[in-house]
Amino acid sequence: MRKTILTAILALSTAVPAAAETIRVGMSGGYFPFTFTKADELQGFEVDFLNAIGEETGDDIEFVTMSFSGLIGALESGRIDTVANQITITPEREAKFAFSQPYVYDGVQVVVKAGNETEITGPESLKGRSVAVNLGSNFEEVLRHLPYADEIDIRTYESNIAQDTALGRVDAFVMDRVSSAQVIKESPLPLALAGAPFDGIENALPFRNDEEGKAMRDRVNEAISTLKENGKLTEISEKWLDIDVTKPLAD
Amino acid sequence: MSCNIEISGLTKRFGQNTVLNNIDLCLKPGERVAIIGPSGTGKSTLLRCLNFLDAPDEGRITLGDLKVDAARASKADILALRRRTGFVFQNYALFANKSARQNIMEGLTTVRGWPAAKATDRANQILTRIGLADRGDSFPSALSGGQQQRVGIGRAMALDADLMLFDEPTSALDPEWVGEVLDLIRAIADGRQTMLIVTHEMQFAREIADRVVFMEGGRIVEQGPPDQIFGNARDERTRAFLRRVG
Amino acid sequence: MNALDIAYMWDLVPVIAGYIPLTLFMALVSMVLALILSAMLAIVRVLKLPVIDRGVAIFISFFRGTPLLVQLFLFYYGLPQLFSFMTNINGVTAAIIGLTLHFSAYMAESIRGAILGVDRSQWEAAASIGMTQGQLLRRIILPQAARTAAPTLMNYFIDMIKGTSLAFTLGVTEMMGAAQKEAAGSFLYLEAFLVVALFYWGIVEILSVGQRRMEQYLGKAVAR
Repeated sequence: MRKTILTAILALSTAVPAAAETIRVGMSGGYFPFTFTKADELQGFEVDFLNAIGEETGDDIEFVTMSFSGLIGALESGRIDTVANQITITPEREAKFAFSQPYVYDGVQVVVKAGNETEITGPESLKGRSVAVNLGSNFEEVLRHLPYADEIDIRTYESNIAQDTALGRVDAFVMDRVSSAQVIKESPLPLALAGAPFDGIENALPFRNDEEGKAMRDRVNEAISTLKENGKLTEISEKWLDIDVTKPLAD
Repeated sequence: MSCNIEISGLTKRFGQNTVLNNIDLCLKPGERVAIIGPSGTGKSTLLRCLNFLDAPDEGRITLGDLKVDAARASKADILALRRRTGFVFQNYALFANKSARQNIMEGLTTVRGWPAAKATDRANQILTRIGLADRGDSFPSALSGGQQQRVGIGRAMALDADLMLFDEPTSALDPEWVGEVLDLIRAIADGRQTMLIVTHEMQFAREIADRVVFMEGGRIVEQGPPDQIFGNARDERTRAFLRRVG
Repeated sequence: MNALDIAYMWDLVPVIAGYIPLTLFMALVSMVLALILSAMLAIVRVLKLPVIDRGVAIFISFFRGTPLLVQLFLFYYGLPQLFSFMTNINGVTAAIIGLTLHFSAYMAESIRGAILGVDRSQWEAAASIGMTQGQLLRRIILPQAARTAAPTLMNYFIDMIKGTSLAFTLGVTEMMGAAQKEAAGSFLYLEAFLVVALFYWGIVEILSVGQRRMEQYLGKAVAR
């Protein structure tokens, strides 16, 4: 018995990949339709995207799912090489990480319980109301930079923000437009878009800001360019989102 | 015959209180010594110091070739002393997690490193001697007070000790069990086991002891053959004590 | 909102069940290690061993005084920034180490209480036949303390099983992580969390039956 446990521990601790040929990709597994499981199978936009990158660069792609709040820590501590979870480029993050080129162009969207969209029509209507955002996401920052941020009751969630909005625990949640539309379309929750997207955002893959990270970033960047050119990226976008979100928004 | 067990200058203090004051005592091989005296006079402490259950502050304990200086006793000294003295507790203190047989075997297997089969044989012999051959598998909680104390004595017997120490072995017992325990001690005494017994059973002390020691206030006041102590004590304190208990 | 989607829940059963071995593995290994560690900590405290006693007191105070999640994050994400070799510790191992350290602090206090609850005469009797301190602890005191502490320790084991659900924050997909990911795809949160809750409940109930049996057995062996 003792021996089997020891062997198991050894097996687990040696299972950590060290080869440079493997890109360890962290994701929450909890962000439909980008990363989620069905019948225990990990899938989504990000999964297809990273697998396509792997095919281009020849690297093995290893997916590591963990709570969203753990992802950045895992990246910093070197447990994963990048995060594929619709990470938005912000000045703070750019100072810390080496970002790939953007692969999703999106906008910030307010979502409310169905029926409330006549009352809440955009970010201005959030004054005096409670708004949920995912812990660790950049939408909290977006809200805090609004001129009337003081009047908004911002609540950070580990997960399940759509659920709590539908239940009426918060008046709205803020997420990117693309996934908001998906949530409304796919989920049985009674939710509605409130107004138009109000802030353009670009999502990309962050890598550690060191030699190794940058080398990997450069390799991945090349692959993204190829995927953009050969239409593969558009294909993935349309498969999961029905629309192409991989081209810059027209100003 | 000269002493092979010698206690000299044994002193024990609890804080300011000197409980044992410069005790000298000497036992010849096979000698059975009873210690009597008022409560709280250091009788039990003397026994406990001989086994280092209480560490004496000063004095020397000599057990055959083992010489222990109380002030400088090493762990090895203490273990050696304990392995050569058997201690019988007032409240039996049987190992609650072990059966009667295991209580007796424990010192043989764990301390002496005997193989289990040999220790079991020896334990079974002892169980027969203490009249509990059929109760070897019983746990202490299933035994009467008298039976428990007999196992307690059996546990001490198993050590084949140079000296057996009995600390008021019957005073916690219900009256109906006192007889069987005294009978067992008497049988051990008849085998000329060297022993020191602290007891309140004066008749019993008179009967089995070669020598009776009277203690008071942490000192030995008087000692001598039972007939002398009980019939013709020289010291007034001894006579006063015996008048009270007699 | 709609009624429960029973068919979906039924589909999730094999998915979540597939993670039971991992959950139990983490809990069992942590429990065995925590038992050993906590017994050692408790002994240090009971014997008041110089110097290390102070260290153990601080250890226990820290691990009882901070949330398990904070400890896991510190250990898994924080310390590797100081000690790069710690990056090689994977999520399962980190979760096991975290659970072990956290629960051994609690368990040490239970075991210490149980050791102090063993009658003084048991120590003296064991010492009187010449046992060393190690022998008397191992043969006489700890077995008796274990009986007193067993129900409490079993409760900690149950807490530990539930505590493994935090391993998802370390990138270990266990029962809870699997349920979260499934719910993300289906939006059937109630169903997914209900299934996983029923699994935890079922496991704990089975253990509770075992716990009652064990207590009856121990009660028979040593009626006091």
